[in-house]
Amino acid sequence: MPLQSRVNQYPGVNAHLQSYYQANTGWVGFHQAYIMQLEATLQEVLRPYGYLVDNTTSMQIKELPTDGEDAGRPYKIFADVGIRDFVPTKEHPPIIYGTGGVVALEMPIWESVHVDEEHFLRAIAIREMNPEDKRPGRIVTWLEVLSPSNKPGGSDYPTYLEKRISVIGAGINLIELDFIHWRGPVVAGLPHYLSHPRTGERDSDAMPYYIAVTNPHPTIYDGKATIYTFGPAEAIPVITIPLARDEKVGFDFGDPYRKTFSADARAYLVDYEQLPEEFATYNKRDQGYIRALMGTIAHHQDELDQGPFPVEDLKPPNGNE
Amino acid sequence: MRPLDRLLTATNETEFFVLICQLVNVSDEKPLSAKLASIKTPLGVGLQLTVRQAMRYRTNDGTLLQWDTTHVFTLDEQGALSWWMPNQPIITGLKDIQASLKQWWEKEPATPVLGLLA
Repeated sequence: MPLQSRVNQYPGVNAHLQSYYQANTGWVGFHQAYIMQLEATLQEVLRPYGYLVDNTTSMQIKELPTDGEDAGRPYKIFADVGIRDFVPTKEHPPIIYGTGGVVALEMPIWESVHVDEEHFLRAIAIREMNPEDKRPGRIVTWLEVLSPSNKPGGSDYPTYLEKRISVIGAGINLIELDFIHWRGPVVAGLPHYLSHPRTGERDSDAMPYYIAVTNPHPTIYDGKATIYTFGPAEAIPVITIPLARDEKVGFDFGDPYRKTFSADARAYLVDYEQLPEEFATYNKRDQGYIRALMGTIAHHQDELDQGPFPVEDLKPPNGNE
Repeated sequence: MRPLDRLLTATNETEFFVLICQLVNVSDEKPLSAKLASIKTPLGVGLQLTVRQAMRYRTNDGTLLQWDTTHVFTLDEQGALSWWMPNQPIITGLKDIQASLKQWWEKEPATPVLGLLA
């Protein structure tokens, strides 16, 4: 009998669920749902302050350059990115059926329109509201929830790096949420969580998840990037989001995560009696925490609606030792 | 009759609580939000209305936008009413709450919640 709960039993990112997505499919659905929760929550927080939030196709940022020879002319930072022909693969085989001379070919919609599934992923744009007509104005902050394809080793990684620079170069604040621990970070200089492919060594300081806040103000050269790293033992942190001018807002990214986890069927993908799939991709510190948390969950299995519960019998973290 | 007058002439705690719940039920474009929840109290259960306001604070490096809880009204199953504000003693009982409400409105009528009473 699996040990399940509609309530996320982790204080933050659910390593069991993330690992399920690592080993199977479904990350896209989670990503979309999380984006929608983020949008709704951010809108509620920011609307009285004169900001509007909308979700937009992640790979097709449009913005008006504010200076230079392109000033005032709309342009696509990435036109037609990632469009490719449908090639049947082992993961996405076509289904062919029919009778007589009629044959139907069934395939995922994203492939029928020659666009990769992950290119339907959406991001969030925070815009200033035009005071005159109260319509959405310029983008001041762009928020991305990274997908595996955006990260090193992913098919869109080079394009994503280019996009990062374009967003920051346009003077837009960039927030990146990275819960994909099984691929390296997109932010340069961060310790790699995964073991070195040849030596097998790990950086004991590395954490599996991070939120990066890049504020390119007053200029891209003088701005700064702040990286908040955390693991499965920590809550998703409250982050200060830079907005227009000198305005900023503290935002709890954990709240929409908890709501996303509890909605629909995804909470039931997790069985707390079993170790997460791909368990070896976590370091010893996090493996120790996950095992201890599973013991705590089992101890409280009749009251999981009141969770998550603190892990009390955890041995001191020992990195990779 | 002004909303303030309706609150000041409420004859019992339940009437006051229902009126204040209706008063803070405003559009999401206002810098104010209210949430009604059932809670456990020392003597049983009750209803709690939490009012939050969109605030702006000057800091060393900019302007912080932050939602703060500014009022909490609680009505328990015995009919006892209380009003909490930050850095203020909790006020209990209909008469004391009405008297304090009148004083606060005369002192700071422009604040978002009290502004709704005009």
